[in-house]
Amino acid sequence: MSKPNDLVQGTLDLLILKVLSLEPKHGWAIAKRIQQISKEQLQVQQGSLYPALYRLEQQGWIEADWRASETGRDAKFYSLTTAGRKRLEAELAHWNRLSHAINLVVRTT
Amino acid sequence: MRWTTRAIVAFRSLFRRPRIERELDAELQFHLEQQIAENVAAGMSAAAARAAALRSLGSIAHVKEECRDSLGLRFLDELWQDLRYTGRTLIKAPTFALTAIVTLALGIGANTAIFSVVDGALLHPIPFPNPDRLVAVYGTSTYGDRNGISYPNVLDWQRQNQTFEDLAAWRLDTFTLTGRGRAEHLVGVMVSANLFSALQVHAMVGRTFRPDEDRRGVAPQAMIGEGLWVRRFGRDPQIIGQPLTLNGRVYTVIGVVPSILRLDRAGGSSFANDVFLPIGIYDDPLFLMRGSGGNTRVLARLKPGISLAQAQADMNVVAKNLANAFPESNRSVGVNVMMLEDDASAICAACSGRYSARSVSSC
Repeated sequence: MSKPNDLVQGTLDLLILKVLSLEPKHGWAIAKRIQQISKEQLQVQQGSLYPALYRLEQQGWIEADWRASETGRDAKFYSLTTAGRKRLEAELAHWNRLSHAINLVVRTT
Repeated sequence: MRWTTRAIVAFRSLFRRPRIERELDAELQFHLEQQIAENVAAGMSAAAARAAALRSLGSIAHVKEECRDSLGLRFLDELWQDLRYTGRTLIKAPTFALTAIVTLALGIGANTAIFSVVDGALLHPIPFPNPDRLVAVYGTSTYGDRNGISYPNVLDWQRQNQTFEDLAAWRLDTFTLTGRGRAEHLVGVMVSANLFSALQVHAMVGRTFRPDEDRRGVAPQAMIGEGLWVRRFGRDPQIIGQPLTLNGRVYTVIGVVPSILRLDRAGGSSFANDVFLPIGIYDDPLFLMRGSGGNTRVLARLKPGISLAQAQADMNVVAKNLANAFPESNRSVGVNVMMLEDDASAICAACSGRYSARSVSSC
C-alpha cells in the first residue's frame, strides 16, 4: 500500500477541514467543492478522499451521521467537531507559514 | 493520537465491524451514483456514464482497504492471521509445542510457589505474638464462605464458644472530627474491648478499652491511632483525658493504638485506622438486628492446645444452636474458622501498617 507523502496528505486534511468549516457535507460534495473552488485545478480522488475522512473521524476532528442528501437519498454527512475547529486553525497557521516561506525562496532565488 | 486511544478505537471498530463495512459500501455506492448522474447530465448514455464513473473512481476494493487501514482494522486482521499461523505451526510440531508449554508452565508455577512462600513467611509475617493461634472466623451462607456476621450473632458466638481465649469483633466506619481547628474526615474502627487482648497489642500511651466500656449507655470513650496522634497532636501524651468530637458526639480519649495494628479490607484498599471506638456503644437499629446482612468481622485467639479442627467443630455446634433458636435469621448461617495466616481472602483482619501490603491479603 502506498501512502501519500506528508505534504499531500496534510494538505488534503486541511482542505477537507476548511470545506467542512462552513457546513456539514457528504464525501461527494466535499470533493466537488474543492474542485469547484480551486477552479478545477484540484481533483480529489475517491481513493484519497475516503481514507482521509476515516482518518480524520478517527482522530476526533470530524464526526459523521447519515442524513437525507439534496437528492433525497441517504448519505453520510461529515461535520467539524470542536477539536476539529481548533485543528483547522492550527493547520491554517501552519500552511500560511509554510507557503509564505516557500514563496520567499521561490521568488528570491 | 496516543497509541492507547488508537488501540481502543481499533478494538471498538472490531466489534462494530459489520456495521462499518455496510456503511463503507453504502457511502462508496452513493459516491459512484453521484458520479454517474453527473456524467449523464453531461450528455453520456447511461452505460457509458457508468463505465466512465467506475474508471474514474479506481479500485473500490483498494479504497476500502485504505479506509479500513485508517481505522486500524488492518492491524487486527494481520494479528489474527499471525495467530492462526502460529497455531497451525504448533499443531504441526506437537513435541516441540508440548515441550515449550510444559517448560513455561513449570517455570511460572515454580516461581509463583516459591515467591508465595517467601513473601508470606519471610517478608510479611503476622506481627503479633503466637500468630499460630490467631484465626479469622467468618459466617457462611449460600452466597459465600467468608461473610461478615451480624453483631447479635457475634455476641452469641462469644458467649457460647468453648475453644477461644478471646473472640473479637470489628467493623470499619467513617467519622468527621470537629471542634479542633480544621474539620477532618477520618476512617476509624469499632472494636470489641477484647480485640487488644486477642491480638496481644498494648496501648502506646494510656490504656485500651475495658469490657464495661464496650456497651450501650456508658460514657463514650475513644482511642486514637498512632498516625492521627502524630499528625494532629504532635505526639502529645497530654491527649489522654481530652474530649474528641466525632460525628457530633463527644468521646474521651483514653489511649493511643500503635500503627502495628491496622484493620482493613484486603484487595488493595488501605484504610487508615485513625480512631478506635468500642463497638458495643454503636446503637444503629440495623446493626443491632440479628438478620441484617452483618458487616461485623471476627478475629479470635485459640485457647492453648486447641486445634483449628476442634475450633471449627465447636463453632459448628454454636451455629446449629443459633439456627434452632433463631430459624428466621440463622437457618442457613454456618461458621468458617481459618488460620489468619492462611486467609488470603478479600476481607482482611489484623494488619500492620508496616507490613500492610501482604498482611492485608494474608490475614
